[in-house]
Amino acid sequence: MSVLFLNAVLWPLAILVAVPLIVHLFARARPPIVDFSSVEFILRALRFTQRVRKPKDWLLLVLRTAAVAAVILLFLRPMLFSHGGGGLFERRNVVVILDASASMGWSDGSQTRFAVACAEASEILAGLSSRDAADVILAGVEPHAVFPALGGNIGYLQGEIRRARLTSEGLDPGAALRLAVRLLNGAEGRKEICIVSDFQASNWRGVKPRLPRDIGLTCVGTARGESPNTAILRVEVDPARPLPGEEVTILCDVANFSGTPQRKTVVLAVESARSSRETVIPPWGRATVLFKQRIDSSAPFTLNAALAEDGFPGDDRRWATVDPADVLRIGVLSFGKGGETAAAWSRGCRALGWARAEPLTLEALANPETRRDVLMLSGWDGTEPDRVRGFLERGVPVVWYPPVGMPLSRVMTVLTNAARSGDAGTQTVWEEDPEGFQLKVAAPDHPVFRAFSAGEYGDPARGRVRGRLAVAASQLPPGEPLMAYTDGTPALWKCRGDLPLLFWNIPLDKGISSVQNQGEFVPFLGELLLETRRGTSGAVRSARESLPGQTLTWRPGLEVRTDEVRLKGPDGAEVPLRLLEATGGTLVSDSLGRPGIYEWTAGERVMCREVVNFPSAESDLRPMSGTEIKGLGGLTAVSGRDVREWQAGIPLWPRLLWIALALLLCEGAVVASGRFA
Amino acid sequence: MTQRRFQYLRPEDIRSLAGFEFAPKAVVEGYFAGRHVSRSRGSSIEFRDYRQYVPGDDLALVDWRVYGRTDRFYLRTYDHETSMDCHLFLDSSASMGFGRDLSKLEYASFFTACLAYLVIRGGDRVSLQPFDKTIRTFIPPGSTGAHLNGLLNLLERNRPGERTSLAESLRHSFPLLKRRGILIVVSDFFDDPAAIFTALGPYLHRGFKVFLFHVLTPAELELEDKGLVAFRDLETGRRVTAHTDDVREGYRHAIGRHIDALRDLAQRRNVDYTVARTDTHFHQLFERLVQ
Repeated sequence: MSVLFLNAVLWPLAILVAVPLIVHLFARARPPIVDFSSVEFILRALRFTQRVRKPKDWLLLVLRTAAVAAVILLFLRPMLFSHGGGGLFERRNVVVILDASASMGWSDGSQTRFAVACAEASEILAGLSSRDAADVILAGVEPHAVFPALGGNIGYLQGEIRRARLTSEGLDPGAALRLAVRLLNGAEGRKEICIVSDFQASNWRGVKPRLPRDIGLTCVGTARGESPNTAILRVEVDPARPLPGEEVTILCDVANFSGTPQRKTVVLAVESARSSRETVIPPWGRATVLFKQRIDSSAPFTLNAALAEDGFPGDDRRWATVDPADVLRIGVLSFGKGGETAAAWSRGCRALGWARAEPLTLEALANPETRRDVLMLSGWDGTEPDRVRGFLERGVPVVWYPPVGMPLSRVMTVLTNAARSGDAGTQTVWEEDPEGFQLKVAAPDHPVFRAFSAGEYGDPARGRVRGRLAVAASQLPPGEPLMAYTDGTPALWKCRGDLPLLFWNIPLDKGISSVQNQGEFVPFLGELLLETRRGTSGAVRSARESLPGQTLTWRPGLEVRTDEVRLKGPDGAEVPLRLLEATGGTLVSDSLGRPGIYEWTAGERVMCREVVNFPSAESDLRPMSGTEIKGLGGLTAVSGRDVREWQAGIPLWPRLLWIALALLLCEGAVVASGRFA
Repeated sequence: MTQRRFQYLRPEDIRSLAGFEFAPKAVVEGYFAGRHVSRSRGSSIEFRDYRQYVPGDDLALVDWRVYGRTDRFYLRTYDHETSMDCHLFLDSSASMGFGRDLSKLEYASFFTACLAYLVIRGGDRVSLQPFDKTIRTFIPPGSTGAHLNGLLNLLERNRPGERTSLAESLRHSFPLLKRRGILIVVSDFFDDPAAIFTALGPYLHRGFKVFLFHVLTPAELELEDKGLVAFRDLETGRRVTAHTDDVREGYRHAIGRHIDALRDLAQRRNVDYTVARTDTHFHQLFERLVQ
């Protein structure tokens, strides 16, 4: 905090502060002499009042001196710089980061956070003088500055702020700060970054701005009061790529960001059909609403889930596209001695009709573009575990039949992140029994075995195996055995957790196993392939979804002319496109605006549908606490006016005038109290 | 009565005083027959009382009618009227010089002069004793025009002197007064009230009718607003610096207590006490004397 005197030349006036003191002392020393008949009674009066008068005299002296000092200071025109100011005559370079993310659209009934932020940002800029430079960054997923470099046209910046529109985007605070630092680099004078935002906790918590030492940071929060909100956070289809005729589960996750329970109705629209479910969402909790839908054809379709609109309507609607698969593409990878088992799998898939086994190489596995609905690895020795893990994370079920002599637990740990203690280095061992090992269903209630429960399709565990991997349950990640040998050795182990990994310990080699020759094998394999795709979040994550602020890309086929392709937004408006020649004719859109269904069209034909959904992180409107905002490392202002005053200083003369008047009033009151006492 | 124009007895005062007669109801001792009742019993027409005859009494005073009814000798006694002695005590201390347009001493001198004129006009005798810390001059009682002239001349020459000591002056004066009569003290009474009344004790015991006129200016009763000033005592020269706003209330309280003390003591000793403000005409004080 510092004070600058604009009329410092008047400092000699400060000597006038001594006037009351001098008057006090000299008036006491040389008062006019008045003859009086007898001072005896005056002395008596003095003795009575002196006890009170002495302190009162000093009080009056202090009040008068303070009043004179206030008047003198008033003429010196002091300016208060409460936060490291004082450089009034120094050029200031200010970058205002204006949060334009979706959460700024919350309205408290009168105006949105964004409207408040625009006003505050404009107020901050209004405090700049003609010699200062500024820029405004509209912060969203990708921040962009109004000027490419700091400029002095403050009026234009204020106009841009007035014209600025709220986006439905999320916020990348780090990117905005980096851009601000880049703009300020090389500027002469004071450098300041002012963030005007609601400081939504979901976006800002954890952000640690690392600014150069010569750049000051000021935070102006615009979030006021409570901001209760309900939102649809997720619409997912399980499985993500259903087969025609398959019944899918549509999951709608709804969240309640308020302290009171909310009863909400979720309306699901699948093409023209509508259905609704009511649910009660606990305070600060979530609920999942399930819809069942049978897929009639392999034609892609969209679905839309909605809640009744509340004060923050952007997140009350969510879309999803469903692209049913004609066949399940099964990627089969075989290594070493696992070739016969892989071949048995492939034969089984061919017998199913709706599944197509596609041989996979290690190179294809390493290619990120490789897409399969299920991955079956026979004899895979754990090479390229990250690629396999990538499939798992995308929700692609992986059935793995390990080879002999590999550290099973270690690879399992890499794949599932499930740590096992003790036997991490234990290698798999082959064991044989001339009589053969008998299989049994370990989890008869599992959906895989639902079709076999009536006995119509026989016993899936029929057949004997003369050799197997000697694996104990303790070597496997946490999970459950779907099938096991009669001695308890796991034969088919489903790992627990989000990643759909199955451990296969049923060799299908000729001469070793008769399982693959049983009539029940094919239906069992089919049920296994269908059911492993279900109930995994990974499967759902594979559904394509974009967010506002991002771009859409599409590579048209040879049958479509690039110049015919258009991208239409939810409102029917065309989104500008640009062609990336380097990628072989990929079309890239501008940043996406509002959420909804975007359609790639060529002429009248809809080539592809894309879903752009509201960013879930923006739904929790709770701002950071004041302490947390301070933790960003800068100053915290209540309003832009505060920032303006910190930058330009607070003129103290009106306050001094009031102080002087108050002091004189007090002086008068003290004097009057003596008269009326 | 007088041809010369005196400062304190102006013709307009004489004209104004024409309707006044100084006749306080006081019992006096007198040598000459006059209008005032005397304790000296003798031949007169004013019957006073009976008393038993004792050898040596004048037989002419025996009431024979009473003897005829009661067979006892009783003498009739009468009050005879006599002239009155009026003793004027005029405070001439330095404090009496206080007053902006009219000093207290001038005011008291006007009053004293007119009072002396009234007394002599009524055929009574008047004495004057200006005093400060003691009796400065003593003009014995007299009732002639020349006596009045002498009195007026003394008043004109009289100037404020030293500090007040009324009690001391009264003690010194007591042997000088041969006859009892009326004692009128005109002063600002800047002395200890108890000491004053102690000094008045012998006079009261001897039968003097005492009138006290406490002369004060308005500025003494209500301290004027002069701001911060150094008050210089006219009698002692002592200086006291004070702000009139600060001490006014206390001063008013102190002077009020002094007046109350004097009034209280006067009431208890059957002494007539009057505050004489110099902003009121001194003629009003005569009404006090005839009540």
